[in-house]
Amino acid sequence: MNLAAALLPVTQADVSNTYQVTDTLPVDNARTTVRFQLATATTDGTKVMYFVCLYTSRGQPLLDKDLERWLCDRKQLLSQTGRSKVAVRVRFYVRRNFHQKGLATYIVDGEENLFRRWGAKEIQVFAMDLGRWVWTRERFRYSIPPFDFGLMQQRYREWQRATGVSKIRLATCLSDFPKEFLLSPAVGTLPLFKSL
Amino acid sequence: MTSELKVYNQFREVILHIRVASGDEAGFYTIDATDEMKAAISNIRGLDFDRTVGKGNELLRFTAKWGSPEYAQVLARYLVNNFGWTTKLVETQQPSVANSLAASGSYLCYYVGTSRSLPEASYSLVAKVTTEDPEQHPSPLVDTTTTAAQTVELSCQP
Repeated sequence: MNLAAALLPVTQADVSNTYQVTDTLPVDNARTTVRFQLATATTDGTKVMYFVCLYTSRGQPLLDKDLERWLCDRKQLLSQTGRSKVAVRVRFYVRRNFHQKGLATYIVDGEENLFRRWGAKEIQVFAMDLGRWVWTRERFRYSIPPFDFGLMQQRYREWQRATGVSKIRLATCLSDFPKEFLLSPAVGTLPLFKSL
Repeated sequence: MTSELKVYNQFREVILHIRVASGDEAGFYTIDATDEMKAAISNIRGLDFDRTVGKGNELLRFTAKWGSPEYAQVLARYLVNNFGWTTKLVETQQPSVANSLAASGSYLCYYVGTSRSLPEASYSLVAKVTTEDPEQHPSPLVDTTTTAAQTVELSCQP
């Protein structure tokens, strides 16, 4: 299988266009690059990995690391048993001086449209670093598998105990975990998902 | 094959102790666990394990088929790498190089721990030494911590 076939019914141009952003944002679309890799016969079936670099009009990078996404045609679902087409948000590190400018929201919305058109049944996120706080906000509507939520509950209890909290609290949902906990070394990577 | 997995928190308390059977009779049996861990573990019964952990610029992936012999070890490695917990793994019904000890009248060792593809972090293995008559000779646990590719050698004493 080649790249074009793996991306059907979308095209490489559709993917690239997703990262052409509105001119109200500090991105020079002409400098944007999208690099594709194809891996066949992986654990996740055929896998398209792509990497995006964004720059300002002065050539300054907007991202600390290349934005990285995977499109897997047979990845294990987190919302239910079985395998299907899954889009994975791997890395998206916006440089600090470009935070709060609407770039992430713009790109995330565009990506969801792309993933839907590609036929993804689910979007998965490896929430790392600041993403552990960002992606767990209700507005993004991500869920955490019950297994991982249970582990987080356990870790949250221990974290409170270690930090001297007198009255231990339990989180009832993902957004109940406080920012200090989510961004602490107590937590590694959170697997999150959203059904499309 | 059956494995026993113990998970310890930062306070050195056991937060999860399960028996994991592989093969045709694959399953979990919870021996001891906090409510949170019990709830957590009940949700992966029967499922292939697949989790990814970011470490710096690297992604570490932990996958195991449900019922496979490596399932317990993969689960243990994930808990160590993503939550900083400590684990101890006892594998039973494994061929033992310590059978000669039994012939000399010492304890029969059902297990010799050999770390396989371990992560860079230190990793705990526990070797369970049982006697032919557990009623007469309590079964001690011999704990040892290994780093990658080390072999645990047991000293079995009556």
